[in-house]
Amino acid sequence: MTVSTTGIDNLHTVGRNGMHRYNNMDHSMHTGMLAVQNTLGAHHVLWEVNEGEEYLEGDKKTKAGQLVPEEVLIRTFARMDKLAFATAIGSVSGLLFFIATIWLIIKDGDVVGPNLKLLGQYFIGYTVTVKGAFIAFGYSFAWSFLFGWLFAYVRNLFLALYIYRVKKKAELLSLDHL
Amino acid sequence: MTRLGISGDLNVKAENKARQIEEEKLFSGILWLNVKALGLALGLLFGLTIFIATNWLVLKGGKPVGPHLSLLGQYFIGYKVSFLGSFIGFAYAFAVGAVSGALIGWIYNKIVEVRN
Repeated sequence: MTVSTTGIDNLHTVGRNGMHRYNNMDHSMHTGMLAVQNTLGAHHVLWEVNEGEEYLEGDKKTKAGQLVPEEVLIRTFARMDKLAFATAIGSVSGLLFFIATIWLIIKDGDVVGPNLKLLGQYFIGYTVTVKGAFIAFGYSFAWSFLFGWLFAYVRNLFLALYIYRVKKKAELLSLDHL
Repeated sequence: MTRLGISGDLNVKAENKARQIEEEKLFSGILWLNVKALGLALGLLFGLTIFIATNWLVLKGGKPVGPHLSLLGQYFIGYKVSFLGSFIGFAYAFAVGAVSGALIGWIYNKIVEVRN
């Protein structure tokens, strides 16, 4: 239905019969009202009426609580948010280095953190002090942010390549039937 | 048959448009992380790493055994490079990994929630 009717600008299918969809009466009437508004210049997507409401037939979840295939596919091909992942990794990593430094300061001793201070070889300016803990947080956040962002980017890239490959394969297979 | 007549060209155009809409919808999802699963996974990864690293040094032997790895005892109170220590190390590392993983998942989900 959707394939045949979408794209024909002046064709509006509404209600149960028109959409071949188990809408309730209120939804069926609503599609009719929106269709009238569309003829007057509005741009409502009638197929979105009754989307995502759990109590109806044909909704996103079945009675057993299982997801319908479309929803499963959307979740399967979901992209990773690069900024969110990078920020999360950076924050946690920074926090670990911060706590590691503060812990040694609290423990104290004749020489505070003689081994951890070797981190200064990579984190220029780092020392096992409170100030150094903040410096370590900054460095660690920056490097981990970069790592997290690249990880998410590469993950999304491989997913996109996989989808492209599957799509091309499906297109080639469909040509076999010709 | 006037404008409503479904000619071949129009049908193909409609099919292409519908397919494009379907594809866009299909790839519009943003990944959400399972906080518990990520915590458990990272906890096991950290724990097993310490467990294997410790036992590897124990099996290799030498005098003293694992002088550098034993520095972990500064953070993991009671940890030693020994067979018993590998279990203590596993427990500590599992806890650190689980908390880190859960925190990563929680922060990620919060940011995704705000951005979408």
